[in-house]
Amino acid sequence: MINTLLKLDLLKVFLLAILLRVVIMPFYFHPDIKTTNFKVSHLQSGVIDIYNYLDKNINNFTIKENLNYFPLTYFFLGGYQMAVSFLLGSDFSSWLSDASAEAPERIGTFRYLFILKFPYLILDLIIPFILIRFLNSDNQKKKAFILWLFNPLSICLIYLYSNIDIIPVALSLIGLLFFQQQKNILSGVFLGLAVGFKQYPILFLPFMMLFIKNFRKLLILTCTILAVAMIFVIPFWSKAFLNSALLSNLTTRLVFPGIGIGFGEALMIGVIALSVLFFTSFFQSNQKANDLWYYLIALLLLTFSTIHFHIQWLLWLMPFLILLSITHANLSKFVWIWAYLAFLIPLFYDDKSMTVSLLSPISLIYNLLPTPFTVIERFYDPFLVQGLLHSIIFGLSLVLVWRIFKVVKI
Amino acid sequence: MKHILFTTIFILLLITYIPFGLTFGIKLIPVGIQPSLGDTERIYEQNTLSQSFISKKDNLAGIGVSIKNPNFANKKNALVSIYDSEKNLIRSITLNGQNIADGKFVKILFDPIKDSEGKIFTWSIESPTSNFDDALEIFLTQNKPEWSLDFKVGEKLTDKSLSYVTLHRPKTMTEVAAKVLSSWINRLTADTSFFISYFLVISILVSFFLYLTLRKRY
Repeated sequence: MINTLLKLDLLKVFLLAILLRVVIMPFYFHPDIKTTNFKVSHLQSGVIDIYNYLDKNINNFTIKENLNYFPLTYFFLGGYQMAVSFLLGSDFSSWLSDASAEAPERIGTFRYLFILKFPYLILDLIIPFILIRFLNSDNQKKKAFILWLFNPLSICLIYLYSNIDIIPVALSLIGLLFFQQQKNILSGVFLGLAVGFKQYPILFLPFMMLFIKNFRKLLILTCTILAVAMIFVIPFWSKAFLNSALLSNLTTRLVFPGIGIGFGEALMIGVIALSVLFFTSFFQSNQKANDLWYYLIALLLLTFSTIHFHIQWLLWLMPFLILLSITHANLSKFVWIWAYLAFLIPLFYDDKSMTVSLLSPISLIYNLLPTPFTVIERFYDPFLVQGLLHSIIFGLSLVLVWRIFKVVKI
Repeated sequence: MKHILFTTIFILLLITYIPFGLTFGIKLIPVGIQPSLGDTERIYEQNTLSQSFISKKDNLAGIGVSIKNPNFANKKNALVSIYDSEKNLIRSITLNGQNIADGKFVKILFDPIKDSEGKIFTWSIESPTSNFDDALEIFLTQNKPEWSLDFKVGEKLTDKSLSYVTLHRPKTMTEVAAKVLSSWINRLTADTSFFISYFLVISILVSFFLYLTLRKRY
């Protein structure tokens, strides 16, 4: 790593990136970091099957939510919490279980936020080193390195919204790098681990299959991903796990928006878009493993354009957006317009935690401020604004996907 | 270079201008935090709710309270009255159920009462045209703040309290910013070991950064 920094003359830049992140880490709060850490704190009490445990005991807790992440998230964050418990202090458990509005203003909040976000900082700083391995020239590598570390979007996603998705993003990126290097077993292991945290990297599998002509290699990759993921999933397979982790969020949202065709049937827009992309890929010749990420960016652009997404999910796309904006400078402007518009949509949700209450560790007084939703509500329908922005990013996604296929000639 | 500059400025704004700039948008300061929500009490026919309190600050300008109105069932007027300790009516405001979403934190605002600090006031809310089924419901709390006094349902005194906060107009533009800054610094320094470690880490990073910058220059 040091060699890379010295070779590309980026040591100072890297230091500044760390400094900016350290400065901001303790002061912004999204409730997800507290609720998720409350749920994973049960590992300390010896709870292994968290899904059934929460399902049975949920009414005994102040925070009445199931864990909707996959098991590795529970063990990784729970294990980390145990390892740093001496730094967190004795009041930490009481802070975690405090469901009142005052919790973010309690003494100790800055310490907890800093320590709980620390693993995210490490992964955030590792990602640019992985990202540059996808590129050839030193100039492109340098640009990618700087663009990852110095773009407000990924900083906000990770440190303001306390984005746990940084873990599967880093793991899947390593998996894709190994795939590009034709190391299918290692690729499968890392992608399987990523699925162990969150299910979204499984969406990559059908597209990866297109790049492997050899059936044996295809079988090895598929089996490795599924086997590694299943090691962490199978022991917890139960109704509680299905309801809280497997059938939540992405899986259900992907099939939700549809056009009714009568008798209860609907054409699912998200599934249509992904099917078009997948089957179009069959007609492309000379596919090289290096081109896989073009398909993945197209996949994610279409997915986000057709579903009501959580702001944290945008992080899945960030590494690919950076790669595209660097390798195809003519698309760069549109890539960042897409990213900023997509980032804006969740800020218009009727949810204080997306905007004003991010500042609640500094003072709860910010909760009195109106959200963008309530401000717009005074003179226009905020849902229409959300719909308008979403429609624009849908249109822009189609253009970007078309340009990717045309310019890149995959 | 432009990305580095843009992002650095952005982060600096996030910890300076954003927290302080936003305070200028805060026109009212609450006294304390709204107590936790418990059961509810309905407002209908003769069921008038009245709550006395000691104003902890000057410029009393509102009451913030959480109200239940499932599916906007209530679309009728509710009259809120503010009385001084001599039971003189000093302010009155009319609300309408059609503007109150279920569970919404409603700010009942009125012209500021200048020298309100330390004085006793009573606020009451009534809606004679509402009936039991469509009545607005106000949340009660079991954690009654020390400044909250008697609570009556109709003429009957109870041992409960409404869950509410009083809202006060800041005396100067900078009052809120100063309050936020002092609270921020107090809580940061109160956790001494974290405060020292945090600034030590920042100092080391800044020193190293400056060393690299100056080494190149000279």
